[in-house]
Amino acid sequence: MLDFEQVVYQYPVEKSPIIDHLSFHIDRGEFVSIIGASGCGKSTIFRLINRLLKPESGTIRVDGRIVAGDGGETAPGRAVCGYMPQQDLLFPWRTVEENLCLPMELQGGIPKEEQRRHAQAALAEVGLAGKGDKRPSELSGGMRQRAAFARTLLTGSDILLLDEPFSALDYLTRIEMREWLLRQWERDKKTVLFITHDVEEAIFLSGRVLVAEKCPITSLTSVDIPLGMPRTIESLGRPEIQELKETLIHKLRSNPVPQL
Amino acid sequence: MTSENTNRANLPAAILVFALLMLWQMAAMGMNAAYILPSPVQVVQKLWELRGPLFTAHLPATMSVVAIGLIISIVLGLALAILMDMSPVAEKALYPLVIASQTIPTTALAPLFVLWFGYTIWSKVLVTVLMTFFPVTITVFDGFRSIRTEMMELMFCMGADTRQMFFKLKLPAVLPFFFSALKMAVPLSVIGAAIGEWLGAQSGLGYFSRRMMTQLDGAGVFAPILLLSIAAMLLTSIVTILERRIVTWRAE
Repeated sequence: MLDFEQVVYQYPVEKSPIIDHLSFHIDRGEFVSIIGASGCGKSTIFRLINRLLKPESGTIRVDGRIVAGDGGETAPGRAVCGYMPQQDLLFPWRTVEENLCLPMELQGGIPKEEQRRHAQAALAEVGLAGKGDKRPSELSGGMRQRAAFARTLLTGSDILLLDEPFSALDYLTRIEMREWLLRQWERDKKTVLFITHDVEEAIFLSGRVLVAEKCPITSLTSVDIPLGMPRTIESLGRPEIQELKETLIHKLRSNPVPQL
Repeated sequence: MTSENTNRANLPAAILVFALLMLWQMAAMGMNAAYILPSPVQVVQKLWELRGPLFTAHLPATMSVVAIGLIISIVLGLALAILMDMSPVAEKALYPLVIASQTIPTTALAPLFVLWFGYTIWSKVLVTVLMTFFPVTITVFDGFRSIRTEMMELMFCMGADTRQMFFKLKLPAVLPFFFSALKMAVPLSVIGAAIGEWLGAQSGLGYFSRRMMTQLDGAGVFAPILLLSIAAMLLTSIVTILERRIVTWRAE
């Protein structure tokens, strides 16, 4: 579903690449988290997939199609995947429903009525039925994130990139949102790539965790999570999971990001 | 806010204005020299006396300068702001020029405009535009710059092209800034028109005020100025009403 092949990226102001000949692969329908210390280049991976940054060399493929790098790229003006940033970024001048219609408006060719129907269905799915006419400012933080997730779904893409979407929420809401996100994933069977620096969150959500051990990122260590579905917050208390958590934290701490 | 609350909030200002007017009235009565300091009552009386020429000839003359000047300033200001937003080269070239244009003492140059355009409306319009386009350009351009990069990136990731980026993100995001610009531009355009007329005109409130000056008619100087302020306040409140209608979201 998503392939990185020997991707190199260097920020113009830096002396050495932040991502150096990185290759990894994600299957259709997987829920994969990328964990790593802050500033190690996790978000850079997303920005490369989204074509906000251009790789120096290497190839990025989504669903077999080259989106960036050697051998062509997807032109701007087309979405390659659904992207959900840290902040909800709902437009304050649009109602919640109009915000959800935005990706469909941008794609074009979908009649207004149909857009509204899709938006209302998506709102119902994320538990926001009847909130369509509200302004984003009238919703709570958790509700806004759910609306932003619905907007991401409505890009129609099968692969979703979620960049620490719950980091701005309070602890209880965050736990709730994790469980909620897993239920969404079980139902929609989308491919999800999730960035977080929270090891516990990564373990709870993912089938597989990719650990950015080194900086620059030359490889991602794949760690399978031995937990079936459905999961609850209690599953995290099991001894083998505790042990896994400590191993992962150890991996992250052994190679700290160089201080700038 | 209910209208009752608004009224109560405005009460201290109203009391202060009334007190100042009383002070003025007493000072003027004490001085008893209406050609230097007419009392507020005399000014209002004069306004009433002169209502014929003021409302049928001079107010329309000034208002047409204000209207033409405002329209040109808004179109020019918006065009410059959009151009600077779209092209970094244009920004580098224009931004310093726009700022520099504000160091020109427009009032001192205005007599020259009269030489160029004669006593036509255009010399007054030019003064108005020179004073008014600046806040429109700068405020709207600041609005463009304040748009969050993350929102632009999100739009890009969702597949927005340049046109959609402008109409679906930039335009609505800049609207509150546009209204702030208008609220600055409206009174400035009235002042610009009055200065233009003061320096060379055959009609208009600024011209009329100056003519009364030569006749040592203090109240006659103040009456058209009172009318000007009222016109500026009315126009500004129209803009505020429009703003409340159109910008219904809370600024973040």
